Order: sequence, then structure tokens, then C-alpha cells
Amino acid sequence: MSRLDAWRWAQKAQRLQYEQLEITRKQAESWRTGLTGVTTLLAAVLVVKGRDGVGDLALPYRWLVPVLLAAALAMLVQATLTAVGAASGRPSDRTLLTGEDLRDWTRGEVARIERAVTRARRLTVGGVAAVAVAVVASWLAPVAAAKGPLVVVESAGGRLCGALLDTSGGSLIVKVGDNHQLVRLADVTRIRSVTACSR
Amino acid sequence: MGPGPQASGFTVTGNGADGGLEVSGTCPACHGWTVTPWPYGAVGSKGVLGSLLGRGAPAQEKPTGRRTVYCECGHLHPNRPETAWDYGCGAFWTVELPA
Repeated sequence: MSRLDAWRWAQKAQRLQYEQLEITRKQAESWRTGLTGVTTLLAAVLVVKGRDGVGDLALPYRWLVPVLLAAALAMLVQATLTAVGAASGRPSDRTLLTGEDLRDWTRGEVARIERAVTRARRLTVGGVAAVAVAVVASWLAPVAAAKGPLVVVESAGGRLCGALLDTSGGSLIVKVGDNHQLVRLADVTRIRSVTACSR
Repeated sequence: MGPGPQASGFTVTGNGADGGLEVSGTCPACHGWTVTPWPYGAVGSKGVLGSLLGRGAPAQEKPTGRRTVYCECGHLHPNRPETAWDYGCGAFWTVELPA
């Protein structure tokens, strides 16, 4: 650093002493705007989420879509905060206001801002891509196969509770857990609908 | 424009509660008494995630080495640089901070 540069940095550092209120006010305004943007991200991600509900999608899409949306929201929030940090800095960070300290801080800050903008750009692209994949998946993913009505079948052989699937060869086909049970129709004494099977 | 490093003649003391410094002494050019405060001031950021996770600014290390001081004797001397913002003779020099 030339001697004249040292003098310029020293003068700039001394001027900063009298601009502290303006600096911190401007940072506060930028952070307020940025944090408002973070809040609106939540609504924006949920608005473009695609179909109304994902509960009727087949596995694994039933879990994939919410996970993608959550990841997208996290990436977009981090991208926004990173960009605000790059643009306005953080008021709690302080440095000794001498020319040399201000010069060193400025060099480090320039490099940090370059990295922050790159990171914010990647996070934004990743977040938007995740939202797009989630929306497409919610529209195109197969819907889970409809289950038969839950019934309790009472017969001479006992009592069964499960999903009523079909009749075949004179027998009822009832899905109990993962097993298919056959009950002769002739033996059935009662069939009644239930909302859940007791375990 | 001014003298070089000043090995002696300047006092660097603490300046208030924020850990800042204050350098005072006699200007080697105009021989006026000059006092320059060096407080800690807000200048910017060290990252967003750190602030969210409660990691504040790193602990302030004790400043060492040479720092540039310019004359702030309060008098506008002749031949003062036109772009000078300060109220002094325009001379500047460096002072070694105490270890």
C-alpha cells in the first residue's frame, strides 16, 4: 500500500465514525425487506404445490413431494438470507476504524460477497428446481390403489376383519393384513361394515 | 506530504467501553496537538448462517502493528491538500500500536 493509499484509507475510516447511524439504519432497512421476503416464500412455495393433497398418491410419491417442497423452502430461505447478508451486511460486526483495519476488512468482505452471491444463485436454482419437480410429481405420480371396504365377516369358522376384495368360486376374498383369506359364502352368517379393525 | 513512521512521541490509550483506541501527540509537521479516536464501528457482515445460529462476530483481537495517523490539530494550514477531509495540516505518518 502506497503512503497516499494509507492516507486515503485513514480518512475513509475516520469518516465512517460519523456515519454509524446511517450505516446501521440502512442495514436494518435491508434486513427488514429481506425478512419480509422470507415470509412470502412460504406462501409462494405452497401456492405452486400442485394438486390439493398428496395423501392419495402412491408411495413413494406421497412422501417425496412434501420432502421436495420442504427442501425447496429451506434452499430458498437460505438463498434469500445469503443474498441479504451479501447486500447489506450484519450490524453486529465491528472493526477498528483505522485505515489499515478498514482496508483489510474491505478486502475480506469483497471476497465474501462474491462467494455469497454464487451460493445464493445456486440455492435459488436448486430451490426452484425442487419446487418444479414436486409440482410435476404431484400431477403425474400414480394414485394409490383404492382399498376395499372394511368389513367384519362372521362365519362358522370364526370372525375375520379386513378389506372385502371379491368373491370367487363360492368364497369371499378378504384381505386381512397382508394375507388373503377365503371364507365360504355358505358358511357366512353375518357381514357388517366397520371403519377400522381392532388389533 | 508528511513524515514517515514515528517511533515515539505518541500515546495510544483505550477509548471508551467498546475497546477502541485513541492516539494523541504532537504533529511532527506543524507541531500542533492532535488527537485521533479509533473506535470500533459497524461496517458489515461475516455471514448470515452464523448470525442465525447465534455465532456472533469473532472475538476482537488486540490490534497490533502500525496504523496511519493524520494531523487533526484543528487548524487549516496553508498548502493543505484540497481533498483533505480533516482539520489539520495535511501531514500523515504511522504509529506503532503498543503490544
